[in-house]
Amino acid sequence: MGDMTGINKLISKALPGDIILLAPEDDMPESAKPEKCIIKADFDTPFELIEYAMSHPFSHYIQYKADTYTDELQISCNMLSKRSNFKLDGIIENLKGEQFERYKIDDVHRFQFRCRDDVGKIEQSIEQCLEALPRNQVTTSAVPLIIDEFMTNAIYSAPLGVEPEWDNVRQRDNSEIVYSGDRCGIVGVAANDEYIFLECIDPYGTLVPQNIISGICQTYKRGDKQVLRDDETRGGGIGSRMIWDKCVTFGINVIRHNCAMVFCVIPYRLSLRKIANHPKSLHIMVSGE
Amino acid sequence: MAMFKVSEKLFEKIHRLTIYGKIAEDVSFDGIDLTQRTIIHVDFKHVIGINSGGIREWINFMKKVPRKSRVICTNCSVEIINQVNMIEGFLPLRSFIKTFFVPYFCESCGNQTEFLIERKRRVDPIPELDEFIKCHKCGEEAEIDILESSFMAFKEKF
Ligand SMILES: [Zn+2]
Repeated sequence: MGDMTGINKLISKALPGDIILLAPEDDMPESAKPEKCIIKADFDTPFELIEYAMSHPFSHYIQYKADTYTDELQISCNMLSKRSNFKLDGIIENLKGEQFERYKIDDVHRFQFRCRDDVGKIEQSIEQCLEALPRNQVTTSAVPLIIDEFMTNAIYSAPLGVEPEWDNVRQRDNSEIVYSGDRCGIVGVAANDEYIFLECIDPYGTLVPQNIISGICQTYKRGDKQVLRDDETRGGGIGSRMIWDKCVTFGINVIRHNCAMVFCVIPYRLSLRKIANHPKSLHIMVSGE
Repeated sequence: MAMFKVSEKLFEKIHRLTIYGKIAEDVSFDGIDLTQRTIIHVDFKHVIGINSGGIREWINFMKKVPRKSRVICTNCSVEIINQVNMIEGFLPLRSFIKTFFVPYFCESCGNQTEFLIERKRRVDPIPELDEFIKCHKCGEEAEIDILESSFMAFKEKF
């Protein structure tokens, strides 16, 4: 780990409340709560980060060698200190704040969805929002794929155990797959000169972040064949890995039995080859009961 | 957005399938009889994406390819090649990837240029790929956007 004393001093002054910034080799102070810890590290590979997160359940893992380190730290602090706003605003809304530099945005586009048929419509709308951006693998392939995976999970997996008889919903006719009552999901998208920001909020709050992290971990460890077999019943591994490879930041925020949000940041002026090995950040928060 | 569909054509020795749209968990390959010819030509040119649920459906479809048949794939995007490389069973054993796209990324303008690479036979070496080419959009240098060693892994089997 490099010497970040200067920036640490600066940052530790600004850290609100009981939030603690730790390096992986640091001992956690006795008074600290793991869910309030931000890990700042220099993981050699994206797999190393995932493996670390598997065995060290903190909230935020950010990389000080990333050129967006201070923005990632700010996201972590905002998530830790303003968690109650997320159901209404999502994460991306926060990026309008003056504290952000590389991630600063002006506008967020939001779309509501209630059924599988909405996926295509929202993908089309997002394509229109981003049509001024260069055409490359990120804008034409990665963004639609991530939106699809986000929404598919929100529609098929999030209602499991909450909606009656949802277990076999994948086998049913599309038109039947509709959230009940007033429930709806929300997709948010924003972009600035360098990055695209995507998020998806489902109104169930059943998502278990550890399953996603462990699914990604398995794809690295065992190869995707075995994961796919497991996937047939549980969902997870391959889709999450596809997202993880294509973004530089991946975040999950769950308010149990209330809502769950996933979000990611994707640079669109970098090749996918560079993105795959870029220092990545991971944000995981679970609250409520 | 293009709706998913599969168009079929039967030739004397070849059953040609052209796939359109996104391969997702709700697609259906029902009604496609893969036993009619021993050469099955799959054209991926009009596929706009494949998600994790679609991968599962695709693998189930490929399980219906008779053992003595051969699948020949054309116009494979990077996404399709990635699945071939990562997931056993994405293509049956006796398959051949005849044409595939190699993308180049230009950091000056952010645009992408793709080239279609063709192979005659599996045993033939893949032509050496340039690390850089001139960007079609702005004329600056565009860099190959694949990790050649892992991307080309498919050529040993397919
Ligand atoms: Zn260019």
